Amino acid sequence: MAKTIKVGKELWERIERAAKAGGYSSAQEFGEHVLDKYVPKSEDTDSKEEILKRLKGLGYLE
Amino acid sequence: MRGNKSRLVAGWVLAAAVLGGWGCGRAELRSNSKKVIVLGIDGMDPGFVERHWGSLPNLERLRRGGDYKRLGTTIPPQSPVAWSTFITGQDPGGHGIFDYVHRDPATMLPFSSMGETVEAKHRLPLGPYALPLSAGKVRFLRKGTAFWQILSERGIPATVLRMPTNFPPVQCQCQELAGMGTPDMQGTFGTFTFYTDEPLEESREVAGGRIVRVKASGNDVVLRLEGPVNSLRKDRSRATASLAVHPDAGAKAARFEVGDSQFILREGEWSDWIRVKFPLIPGIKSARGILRIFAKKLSGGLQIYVTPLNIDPVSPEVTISVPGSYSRELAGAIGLFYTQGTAEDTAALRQGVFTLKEYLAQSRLAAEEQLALLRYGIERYRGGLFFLHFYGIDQNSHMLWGKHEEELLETYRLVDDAIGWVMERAGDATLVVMSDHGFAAFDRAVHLNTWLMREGFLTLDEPANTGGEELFAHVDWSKTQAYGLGLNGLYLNLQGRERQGIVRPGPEADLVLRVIARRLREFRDPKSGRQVVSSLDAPREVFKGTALELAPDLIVGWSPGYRCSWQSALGAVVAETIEDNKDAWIGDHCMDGRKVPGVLFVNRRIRLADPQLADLTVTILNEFGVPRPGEMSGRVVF
Repeated sequence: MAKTIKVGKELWERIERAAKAGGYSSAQEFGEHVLDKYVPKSEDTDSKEEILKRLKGLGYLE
Repeated sequence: MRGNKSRLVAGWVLAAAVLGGWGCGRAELRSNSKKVIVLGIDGMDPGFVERHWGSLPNLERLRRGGDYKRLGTTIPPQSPVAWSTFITGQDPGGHGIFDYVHRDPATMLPFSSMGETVEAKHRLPLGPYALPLSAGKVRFLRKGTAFWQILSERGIPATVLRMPTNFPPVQCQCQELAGMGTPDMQGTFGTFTFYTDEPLEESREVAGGRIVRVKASGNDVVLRLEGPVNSLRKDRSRATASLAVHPDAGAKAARFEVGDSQFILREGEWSDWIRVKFPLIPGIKSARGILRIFAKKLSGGLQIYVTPLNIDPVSPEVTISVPGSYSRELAGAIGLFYTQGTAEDTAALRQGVFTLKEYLAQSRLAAEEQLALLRYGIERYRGGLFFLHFYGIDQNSHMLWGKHEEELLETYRLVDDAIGWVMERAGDATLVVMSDHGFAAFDRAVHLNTWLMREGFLTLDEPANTGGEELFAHVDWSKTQAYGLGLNGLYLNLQGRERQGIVRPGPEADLVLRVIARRLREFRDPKSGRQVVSSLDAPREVFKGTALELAPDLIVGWSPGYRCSWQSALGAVVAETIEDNKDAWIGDHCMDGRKVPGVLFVNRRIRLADPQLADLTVTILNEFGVPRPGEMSGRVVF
């Protein structure tokens, strides 16, 4: 499910300008790209379910 | 990438030509004239062997003509730890592997010590896809140099088949096939799928597999095969393929269709390996894997078992061999084979999908493939090092130990026959048969985290929040001094290391550890009064190496009969401290390493009274005239 982040008007306008200049189809796409690039992924690359699933196939762990 | 591969292959061909005797120097000739064959039999137990000399004539012959001793294993005696010591000649402090499971103290999340596939971080969104801007990679933790890399640097050829904790295989001018630790196409250590029309079954994920309820009613049915996560899609959905089943209940048979393959199986039959293509971007990119199908029930219901989707050795999606083409060569010679590191599907037996007989049949299929690799390798072996790892005794011991002696002996006999076959062909080679650890019963499961809670070292957010939820779901880190993770690991919640550490390094940490250690030694099983913990080792005191970043603060050596519980190993805090092990997994070795040694057979006299795993590494190098590297501390065994 998509989530929403609220930003101030001035920042939004800067995002729109940067998205247009960068050739992005929308401010939304640009925003997602920037956040994806800079938010640390150590925890969110894999869900906890995926982590457990990987380990549990080993037999020693269940 | 292609250029690098070409250079590697070219380098290999050149080395092979030189080593084949075309203009090589005298020293190289001497090296090449030496032959060392090592058969690594995971989990071969000295007590079991000594009970059955009469049924194991080739091991008996090897003992009489050469020598036999118990082989000291590592602390803890877990396969990734022990094989890493064999590979590097160093203790865990040197190679940095301390358990099947490590944790990231910044997140408190566990991960496999044997490496994991990590997807590309940066992606370009395009419609429903998210195209990676860089290649994914495999997280590889083992430090130190593999001993056959040292050999290959000196021009000594090496063939290393299915070496554990060697995924992806290390780079050298040698031949390698990755072994234990190699994932399936879903990035797990093996995820089977079981399709059933049993009315009472529900589709669900289980440890090591997936149960899928289907509505067949004796009619044709199309099953959805799940492939790898489609990492090209933003929604990370799984790539899928179809398996059509056309049952003929009267004949107790069915026709199967998947991709371009069609075949008929009777009830109780296994298919051959089947190549399956999973579209990632239709018409542009797909992933390929291989699987086998077991027609468990085709009349009076439908039950179909599908193996984990294995990496295709003919066109592997990730590197599983060195050179990269070697897995294709092997498949060309012996046919397709299990490439996942742990082929024996103990999970299917534990989940009730296989009967014991069905499990043993599947384990036998995997064993036959490993022995076919052995035959192919030995028939082409001309000198240098040859190594093969056999996994079946370990996996079968987990399921049979102490209760099914005759069935387990069958696997030992199979290995004994193979050893006899190698002995006939070994000529003047030094032949070593060794195991990484032995076995013991696993009768009682200890919830270490619950014990820590009861002793006041671990606190939950609410006392009532005990249960099976893993990953320390309800642990209040602001009031927790220590926690358990993995099968032997106990960690302090240390300031400056753990994300919410509260124990100050130095005297405070030392005191907490001392108190925990004293109480663990006093810990008695309320059911029998037996001592639960028979050894405790502090890695930072007992190991020589310095790769200790991920080391536990204490390694708990469980008394034989005891092991860390499944739940506690992954950070759950259940209500009971200790309980009967009711699982089908009835044997284990993740205990006090001094109580579960391995075996060492050599067709030479063994000079040491107490050989250890790390001694073997130095000894093999010594056989080739290579002096002991400074980081290794082993002694020459023979």
